[in-house]
Amino acid sequence: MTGAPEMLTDTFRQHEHLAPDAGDVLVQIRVGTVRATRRRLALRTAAAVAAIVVAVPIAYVWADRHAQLSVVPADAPTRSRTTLIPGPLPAVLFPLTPGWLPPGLHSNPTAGALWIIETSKPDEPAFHVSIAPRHVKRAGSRQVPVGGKPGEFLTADARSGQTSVSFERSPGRWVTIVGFGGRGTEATLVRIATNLRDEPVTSGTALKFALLPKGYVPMVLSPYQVVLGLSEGNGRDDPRRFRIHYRKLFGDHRKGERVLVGGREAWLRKAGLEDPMNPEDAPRPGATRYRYLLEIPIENGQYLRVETPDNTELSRADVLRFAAGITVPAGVDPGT
Amino acid sequence: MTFDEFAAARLPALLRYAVMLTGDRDRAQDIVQDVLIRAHSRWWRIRRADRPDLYVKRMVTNEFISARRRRALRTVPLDADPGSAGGPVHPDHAVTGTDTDDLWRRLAELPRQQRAVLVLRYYEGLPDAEIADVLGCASGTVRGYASRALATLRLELTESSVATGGDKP
Repeated sequence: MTGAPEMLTDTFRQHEHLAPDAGDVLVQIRVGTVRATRRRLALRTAAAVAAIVVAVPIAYVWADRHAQLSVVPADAPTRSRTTLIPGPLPAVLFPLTPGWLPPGLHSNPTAGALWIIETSKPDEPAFHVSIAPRHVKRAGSRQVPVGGKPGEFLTADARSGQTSVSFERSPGRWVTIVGFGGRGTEATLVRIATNLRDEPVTSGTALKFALLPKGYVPMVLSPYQVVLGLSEGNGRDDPRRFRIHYRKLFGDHRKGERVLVGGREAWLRKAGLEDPMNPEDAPRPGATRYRYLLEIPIENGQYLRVETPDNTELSRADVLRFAAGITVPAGVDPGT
Repeated sequence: MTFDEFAAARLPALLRYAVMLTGDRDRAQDIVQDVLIRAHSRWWRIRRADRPDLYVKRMVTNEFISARRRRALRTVPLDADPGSAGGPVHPDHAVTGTDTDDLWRRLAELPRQQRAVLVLRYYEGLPDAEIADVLGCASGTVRGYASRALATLRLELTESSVATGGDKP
């Protein structure tokens, strides 16, 4: 006789096939996250613009003397092969520019994505372009060439009516163009994809950088969150990125080694990579892979965080020098 | 772990879990989409959790149980006909398709907390302590939900399996 647990388990498992295709849902989630980010960015930009007008920028750290301000002696600064270069560089919103668009459409770049909209209907996106370091093959897709590179065309989803083309523009750099509302024919999507140019769209940001690691460019995620990515990289998802985030934190985040950055007390620590679920844990004894996390309390529970890539080539002293070159606006609430 | 890595790795399991909760493909997709879009905006905090997967599962469960969602669900009759869903039915089970279809329909009529407990216990295989963590209640409450659900379904279950959270007798 079948028991109740087995009967329930069998019943659930026999209905697993009702689950939607994960690839389709992933596309919807990507579009949704970009839209949500776009909304937040618009709100924060409006708030930031209002605040910056009345704020007195405080440059709290700079000059080459900050490394000497460290309470704890800096370790072997000459180890660094990646040097710091003078900023500022324009911050990149999106690294690609469309070279061709269907008539009546124009592009509207946001942080990490490119919206293509109808000039006469600014609230109705026609296409969406994004970049990711990897690609999940979706059920129902078929192969199409894009500028001589292998690509994938996903036919219209019956529920959303969306189509998409994805292709690996360069190793580890997957570009996806999604078409909305029946505009995304295969020919149109492929033509947009083929004509994308490596010309970054730039933007202003509330965070300013006096020094930058050589080869890196600032990429805007929000007025208070910037990623430094290699110009040929994928920005926010590139493991070689630096992340700089100014935000309000709850609790005490003064952990690790106390240092001074431009006269301000700051806290520097190493984070290990062994446990991906707890990425901020200290590295295990003897670990050779780690990254730096630098938290600088600014005001009212707001911290500036500088997070280096895994095993950055910047020395500890360089990290402090770099952080000392960052300016945040005073008197703003960056949110959480 | 980045949000994209998490989503790519966990999305299929989350969708299956949501289907078990809702019994409906479209509603499951809506819930998971909404939850992951919200999770994306606070990922910097979620990823610090001991178990980000459990955290997101809790979000999915709460979304399913919420009154707002419950009202919406009541307007959408459960489509329990596997044929209309376009997917295969696997007949090679100890329980016949008729039995499981009937049980599937009756599961849909349970209060949401009770159904969630059965899904977490008999589909996800979680112990009562973790179910309690997901639902934000005490382990005793979990056992109470399970007992009432099984009584409603008129399923017999040994006392030991109720107490240990789904161990097979």
